[in-house]
Amino acid sequence: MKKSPPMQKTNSTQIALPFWRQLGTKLIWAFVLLGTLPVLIVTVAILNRTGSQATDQVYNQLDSVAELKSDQILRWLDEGDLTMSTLLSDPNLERFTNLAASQISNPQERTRVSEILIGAVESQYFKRMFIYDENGVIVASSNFADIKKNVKDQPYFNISLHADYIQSPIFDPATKQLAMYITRPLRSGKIQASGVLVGELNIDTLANIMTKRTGLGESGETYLVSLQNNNLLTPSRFEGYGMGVAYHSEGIDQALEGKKGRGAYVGYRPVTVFGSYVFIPELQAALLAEVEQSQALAAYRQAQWVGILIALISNLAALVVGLFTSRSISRPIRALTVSAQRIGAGNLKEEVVELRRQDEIGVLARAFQQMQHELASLYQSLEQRVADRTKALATTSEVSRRLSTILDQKELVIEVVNEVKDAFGYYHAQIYFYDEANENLVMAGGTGVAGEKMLAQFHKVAKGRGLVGRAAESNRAVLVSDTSQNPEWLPNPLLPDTESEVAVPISIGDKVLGVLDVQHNITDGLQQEDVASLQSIANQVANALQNIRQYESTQKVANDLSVVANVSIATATITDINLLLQEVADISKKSFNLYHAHIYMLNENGDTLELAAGAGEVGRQMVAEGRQIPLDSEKSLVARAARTREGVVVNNVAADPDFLPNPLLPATRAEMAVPMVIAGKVLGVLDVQSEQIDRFTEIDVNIKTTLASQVAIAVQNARSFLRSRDDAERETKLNLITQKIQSATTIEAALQTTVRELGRALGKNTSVALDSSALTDKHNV
Amino acid sequence: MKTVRKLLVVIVIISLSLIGCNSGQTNSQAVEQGPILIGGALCATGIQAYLDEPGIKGAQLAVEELNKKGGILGRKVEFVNIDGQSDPKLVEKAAEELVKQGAVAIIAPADFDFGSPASKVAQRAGLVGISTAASSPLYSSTVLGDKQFTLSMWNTTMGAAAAEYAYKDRGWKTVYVVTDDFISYTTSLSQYFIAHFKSLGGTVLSEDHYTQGNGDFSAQLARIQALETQPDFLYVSSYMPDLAMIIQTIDDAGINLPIVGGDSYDDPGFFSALGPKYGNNVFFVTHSWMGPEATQDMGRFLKLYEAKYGMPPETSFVATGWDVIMVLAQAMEKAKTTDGTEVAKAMESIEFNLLTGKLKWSTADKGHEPNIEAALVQLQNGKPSFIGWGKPENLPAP
Repeated sequence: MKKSPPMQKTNSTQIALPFWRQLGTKLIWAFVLLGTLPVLIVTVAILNRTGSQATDQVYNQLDSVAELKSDQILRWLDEGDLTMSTLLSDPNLERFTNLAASQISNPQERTRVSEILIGAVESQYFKRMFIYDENGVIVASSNFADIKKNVKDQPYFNISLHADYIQSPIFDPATKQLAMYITRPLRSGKIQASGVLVGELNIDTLANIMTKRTGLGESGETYLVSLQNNNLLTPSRFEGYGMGVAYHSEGIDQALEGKKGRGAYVGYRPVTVFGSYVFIPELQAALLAEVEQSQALAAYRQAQWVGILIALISNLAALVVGLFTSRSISRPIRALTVSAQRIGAGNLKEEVVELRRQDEIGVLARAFQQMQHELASLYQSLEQRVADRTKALATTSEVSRRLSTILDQKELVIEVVNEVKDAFGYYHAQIYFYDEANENLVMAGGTGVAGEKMLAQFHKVAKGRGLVGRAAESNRAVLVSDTSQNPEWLPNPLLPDTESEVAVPISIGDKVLGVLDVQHNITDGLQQEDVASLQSIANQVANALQNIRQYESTQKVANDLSVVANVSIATATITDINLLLQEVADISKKSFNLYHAHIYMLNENGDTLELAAGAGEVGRQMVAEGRQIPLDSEKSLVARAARTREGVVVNNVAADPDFLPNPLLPATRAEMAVPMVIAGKVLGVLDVQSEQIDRFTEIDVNIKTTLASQVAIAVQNARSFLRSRDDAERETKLNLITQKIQSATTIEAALQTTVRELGRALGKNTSVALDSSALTDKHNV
Repeated sequence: MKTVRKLLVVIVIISLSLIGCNSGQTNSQAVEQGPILIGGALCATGIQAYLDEPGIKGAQLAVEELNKKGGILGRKVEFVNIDGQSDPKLVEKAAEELVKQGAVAIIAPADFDFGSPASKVAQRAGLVGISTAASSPLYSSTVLGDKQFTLSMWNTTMGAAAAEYAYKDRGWKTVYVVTDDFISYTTSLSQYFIAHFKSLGGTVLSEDHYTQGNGDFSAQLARIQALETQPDFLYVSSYMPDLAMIIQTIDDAGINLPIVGGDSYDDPGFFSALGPKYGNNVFFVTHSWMGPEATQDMGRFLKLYEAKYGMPPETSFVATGWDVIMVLAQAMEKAKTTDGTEVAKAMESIEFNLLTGKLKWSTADKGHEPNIEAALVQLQNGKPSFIGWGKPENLPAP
């Protein structure tokens, strides 16, 4: 068969993948992801961290500023307090305070006290200092204008009589300014105060403290908000936010509730601020330190931008690196893909690309190359195998065709073995058939000299022995691809070159007829494929064999029927019954190819079967012995056939315990007895014996029964003939006697003649005596 | 690609958890330490309740205020009171339960008899114990242990302050003293008053006695009336309910002398029992004054109190409840720990500025004697009014 090129796919676009499926694209993606994601994550993490850190930092700064301011305020108040204490410990004032304030009535005293107060004011902590009595009337002051004024309505008046007090900033309607006071009750060693020393704090200091910059930047500020009216106690840094207005913000409100804290919220200006807040009880005011969020986070925002920039740059870098790397990886893979697709399309000739690369792709390319070569050689061997197979099929069909015309088993065998050997180029082929006993496999034919020799030697193999025996027994092909590897294989000296052997059963259904055995002088020269072909041939052989056997059996029936016809013809002219029966026995044995044939006749009493004729010398001997069988003999086939008026067959006498062997007929294996019946009357039995087991079939019974019937008719005819001939002779004799008697002239002569003739007619030993008295009755003979 | 995806997912998860950790770190530390538990074994029911129940309210308010400002040492504060039910045994049990629950300090009832069992438990557990207002000098570190305090002035101060006010402010030189001898509080108070009054130069005309529950003051009244010269004032050391009866009896007898006493007078039941008719010319020394004119911080406290409870405080014992919490807070902040020993040392070293006046304790070996201002209050028309704070320079020996 000529090698035809495999289907070539029209694959002009070798890689028809959409770009997002392409390896290169995926690699670029992976690179961008791997290059960007960590940077992105780290950037986000850092930004998140620095973001919270930046916020924390801002809060911490605000907290510390708030704390600082708060401390400064408290220190300022403490200093005022200290000034008061110092003043109260002044011996001059002490003397004074031991007096009831109301006692400072004398102007001289008042002037002296006022001078002390003026001196104290110089410390700058206080704007002014004054003393009032328990009724609130100012009795001495650093500012003479205050004297006689009443402070009873001032919020600090009541408590000032009892406790050291710091008056939180209040709006003084007189000065239209904020004022703060520190008060000390003057007890003069008693429990109930007699007056109060008051110092008005220089509240500008508070504003100074609060508005002094503390590194909070352009938008940062600290300020105080009064609990009383939510007014600013210290001026705003920003224009348009006056002091006489109530302000609210989350920070202000929280602090005025007494809470300390921090947060991002919209400040009193409509700007989001970070704030730290605390309530200062001494001022009854909230202290807030705030900075605009945008300014506080400016540095952080910058860092954020840098981070984003870095992420973008790394993204770009990853893209570029990814582009190059993916190209360097995907380009050879694409080329290889083209090669692979080419190989896939069946083009095995072109060289695979990228073979010289030292990386995995090179390995892959070389593997592809190897695969291509493997495929090519596989392809070629496949073609060889297809050719072989085709040849095998052709041989099979050829064998089959030829077998169908062969009607001779021998010819068939020779034809098959030679055809098989020649067609497949085997070393040897041979066929075995089961012998008649189904015990051994007898060589039926083989190729070459070896085959002839073995045939001449009647080579046979016991069932189950060797490949042939095993194949026959198991009804399965037995293959030994390498005989040297199989210890059970038995070498045949006539076939020294055998390297592999297969034995294929020739069978129809479960019935094994024989074995086709094939040998090759090449190791592994016989394979499973050969087995299939040979099995197919063996099946054809089996069929042919079946045909032949069927043909033979048909031939045999025809032959048998012609024998029956011949017997009929031969016996028709024989009037001597014994001669007739002898002829039947002889022709039967000869024509039917039997071991023995003989005929029993039922005697006149109908109770015994007497041997009437037997084929050959043995038969004559047995007839001479006068053998007979009682009709009621249970064991006798012959008797049974006569009783039942039907043919009786025993196809394997060895298996029949009732069979009585005849020493004169030792080789008998099968026996058949058919009754000779005419008009419902049994005349006798035709008994035939064979050396073959299973020799007799239903057809044989029918044919022999027919034969027996013919014989019976012949016997009947012969008997009738004999009887009528006798009658005629007697008639003739009677006529002669009658004539002689009538020719006698005397009675005496007549009687003499009668006796003589009767004696002659009845036999020589017959004596006839006449009694004269008998003459009286003529019919009494 | 699947492995790459898995890898990416893992990276993202790890990164996110790292970010989460960073932002959550400061929070988790605070959670780890949990709130600071201050236990109270104050009596919300029974005869002691009129002193302790206001203390509970004050303490609760103080805790709220502290938490507003961020708690103690950055930790939230919790105050849990288990009712001692005016039974020393139950007070002890309550204190034990609080120690079990992890309290770092115990607030004890406002009386030596009821408060000391709680303080003893606290001392055994190594914790600071502090009574809101037990005024017995027995409430000292020498009796109860080196970590035990009382916020109240001792009776020495209470008696002395009354003596000073009478002698110095009022110039009263003679006194007739009636002492309710039913409990030790009244007897010891009289004892310190007399000692200090005498030391100032005053004269005690007579030391008379009364027993709570008698219900009859006629004998004592007769003895007062029988005096040759009437005293400048009467010092009556007793308590409700018989106290109101005594004052009414004196007033009904036409004796219009000023009557002076201790903190047992600081009782709304007493004020209303006297009413405008008898509620005049009565003076007493107590822990604080519940008016804005008392101290710098009182105004704010009163506002907070009213905002929380819907009414102004009726007695100064709410202030002692507030103050004990603030004292502990300040001491813990200074000690930078809640450890009992350290907190006790801090308490010894700080001069506290409280609603109940300025307070400084002596060291443990000196008995934790409270050096605190006493508040003097006057009843006018049945209503109390504040006179001022007094702190005797020399105290009678306890």
